[in-house]
Amino acid sequence: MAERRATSDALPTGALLDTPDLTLVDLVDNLLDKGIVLDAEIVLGLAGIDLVYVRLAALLCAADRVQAGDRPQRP
Amino acid sequence: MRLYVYALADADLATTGLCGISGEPLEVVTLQDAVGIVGRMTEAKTPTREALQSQDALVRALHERTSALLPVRFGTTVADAAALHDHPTLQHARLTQALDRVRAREQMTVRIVTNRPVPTVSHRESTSTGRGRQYLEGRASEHRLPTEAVEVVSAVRALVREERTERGRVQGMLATVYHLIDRGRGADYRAAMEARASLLTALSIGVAGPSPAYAFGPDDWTPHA
Repeated sequence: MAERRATSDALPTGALLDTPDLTLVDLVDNLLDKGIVLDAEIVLGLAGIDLVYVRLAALLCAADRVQAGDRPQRP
Repeated sequence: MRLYVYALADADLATTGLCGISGEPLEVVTLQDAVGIVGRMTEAKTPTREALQSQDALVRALHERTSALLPVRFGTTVADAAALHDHPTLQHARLTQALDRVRAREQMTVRIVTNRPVPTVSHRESTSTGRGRQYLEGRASEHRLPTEAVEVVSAVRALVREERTERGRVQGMLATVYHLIDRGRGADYRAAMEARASLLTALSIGVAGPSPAYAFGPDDWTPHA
């Protein structure tokens, strides 16, 4: 079901919540960042050209999760 | 040729009339009391918008056909049926417990955006505590909702069976909240959330769903739980 925006105030950041981008946010959030992880096999491409092949177990996540500044620092 | 895994579900799930995201026939791999829904593929899938939409549509169709379904992450493959059956994360008791958790339920997602500065999640601020404690406190804080967000989600508390939360990781995003609710209560949930939103002055709220329970796999089956 498409996401609807419920807002009481127009916010620049809130543009993120406008469809159809919000639907894409949901797709990425649900399918790439959530869901059960068994093994991941994925090809990252640009303009129809396969650039990066990833074959990993449990390391496939949204971009903000791999930004160094937001990663937990293990003691 | 590998098996591309779409979902794990109750054993009564029928795939008649459905096909995979590459048009391949769907197969059902029996996992004791549950099943895995798979298709055969020769190459890895590229995560295009179309591919994500196709997989989401398929998972939703499967979700409609059974009372308990756990979506599997995009791009997941195993060598063959035996590899899926013997996969260490799919031990019988854990899988059964995970399916029981989502049975007859569906997910709603709420994204809460604010126009005031909020600290993004970080575990690197220096404090007087030790690094181990600092790390654990930082991990715990990821799942602790800010006060404004608690106020927002209180509007639907009566409908919520389970909740998972994530603090904002980018400026302006206060939190994302995932709720499990009873199937068929999505309209009530939206109505309650929108009524609450009309009372707010400094927040925007995006409500998505209902959807399959993407965010409610067992914690230790995800890399950053």
